[in-house]
Amino acid sequence: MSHDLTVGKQRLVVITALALLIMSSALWPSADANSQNDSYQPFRCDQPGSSDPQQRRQVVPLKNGGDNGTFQSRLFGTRMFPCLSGTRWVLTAGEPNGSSTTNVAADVHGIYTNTSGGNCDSNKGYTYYYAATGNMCLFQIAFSDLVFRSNVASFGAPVLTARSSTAPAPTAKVPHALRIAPDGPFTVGGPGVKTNLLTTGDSWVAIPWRTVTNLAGILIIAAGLTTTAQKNTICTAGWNGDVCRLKIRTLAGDGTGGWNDLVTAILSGLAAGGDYNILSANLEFYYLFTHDDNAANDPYVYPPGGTTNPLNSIQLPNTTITVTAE
Amino acid sequence: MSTYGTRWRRMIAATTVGFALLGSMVATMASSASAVFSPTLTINNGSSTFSSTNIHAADAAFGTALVQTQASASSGGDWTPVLRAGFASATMNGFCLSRVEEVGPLGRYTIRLTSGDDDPSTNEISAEMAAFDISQLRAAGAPGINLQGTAQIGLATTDLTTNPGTAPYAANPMGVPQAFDPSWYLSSGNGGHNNGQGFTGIDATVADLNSVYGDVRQAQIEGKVTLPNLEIDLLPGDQSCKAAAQAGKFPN
Repeated sequence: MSHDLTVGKQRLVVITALALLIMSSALWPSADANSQNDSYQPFRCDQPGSSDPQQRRQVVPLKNGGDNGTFQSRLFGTRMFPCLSGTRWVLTAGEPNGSSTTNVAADVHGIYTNTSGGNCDSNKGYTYYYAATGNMCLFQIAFSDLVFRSNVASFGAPVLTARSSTAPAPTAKVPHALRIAPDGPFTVGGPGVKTNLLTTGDSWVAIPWRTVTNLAGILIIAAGLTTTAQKNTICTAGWNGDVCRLKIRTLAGDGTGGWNDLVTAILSGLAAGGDYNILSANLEFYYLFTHDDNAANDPYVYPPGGTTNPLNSIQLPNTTITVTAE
Repeated sequence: MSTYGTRWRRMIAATTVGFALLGSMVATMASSASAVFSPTLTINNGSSTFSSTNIHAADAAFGTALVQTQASASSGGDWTPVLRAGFASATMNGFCLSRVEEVGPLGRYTIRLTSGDDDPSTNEISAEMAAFDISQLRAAGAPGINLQGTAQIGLATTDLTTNPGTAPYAANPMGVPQAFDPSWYLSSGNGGHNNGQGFTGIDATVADLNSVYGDVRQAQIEGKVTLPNLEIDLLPGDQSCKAAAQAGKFPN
């Protein structure tokens, strides 16, 4: 018995097969930009009562590449899935109450805040949970690079400190501090690397007042307010002369006061890829991570620069690390 | 009697002390080899120091943890915080490990282990699945500490990985207990699932440590290790690896 098909039947079979293939691909769920399985640890970050052994992991979207303010989706995009220690890290640098605008501690390039899908602090922040208990409203900021100046040690070398006692209970039986102290400058990020921070709203950076007026001079003049009134509104962590300390909450666009729209307009300029001089900083953060400029690259699988020759993400010259009981 | 002759009594005493110190160090290393990640491990008094011209570590992690001194292990007290540094694989350009002891009337002696090929351009030492408990670390010069690839700060120490590439990762390689343990935690939460809260760390795809030295309480290498030209010296006085590094001398 012959199994040969006519040309017409062959065409029908091929067309049917193609149709089935197209239908199946349309019905098949599309893969996420990255998978939490790539980040999963066999170790649990769990919550009793939940069937998800990684219930307390947090979702942190990556910053998209290029010069725009977009971030990956919290639901479908390329994301990190950390189990956060709940220990507050603090980065200080420069003169915290200084009035000099010539003592520049660092330069930051391409800074943005992620305000999409916020659920706390005027919906500009997002609630993040820690490994066991507690949570906090944190702001996600991202930048291309943060480079400290070579003379920063002369007026306030940067220091990173993490105190275990800052975590909500349960915390370490022996309270201790981890201190990372470069003698002078260090660098975060650089070509091909994006850096993200989850900071508190009260964290601040001090910038020259001229940075604000350069960005929004016409708007400020139009507002007809005194310089003091302007500074009191913009410089929410205080000001000294022409040094303006700006809370991250404010940078994220949580404008307050009677001229909310104006402040929002000014700050949206500051938080839209700004390049600043940082005079001093007091950044309290709970998570920092770096990833490839191409946000489609899952950082767990494809770190910046690839696995075999990864790019420099954080460089700490002449640095001392200590752990001490407190 | 010649003043240049061998001082036999002193030599015998020094030799005895040397063997005792060597035995102490090896015993410490041996006990560490099986217990470094155990939360109930016992350790030496933390007077060892180390140095290297360069450590190039793949999938490196640094997290805070608690360890118990040997003296207090029997009494069940005195837990000390350390920075537990681990990596999946690493190469080193020279390595030095030393311990200084006060030996009664003989004064101070240093027992020192060194390895390397004296070539400053090669990383001739290799090790896999290693960990060090450090109380102080210094990376001199530039770039000093260089974290490459995906760097993360703020993870619970239990969430750090020291296996390269993709999942599955080793489970909790730093050994901080997930469940409430009164030796580690002030209190309990989350139904006893403390998940490393309050112990924080840094994770990186690759870490380069240059001109590095510090105080190490213990070390463990689970995987293969290659230590070319390994030497063990007994030296009078304080000739620790750290002191030499502070003077600008690194093994290579």
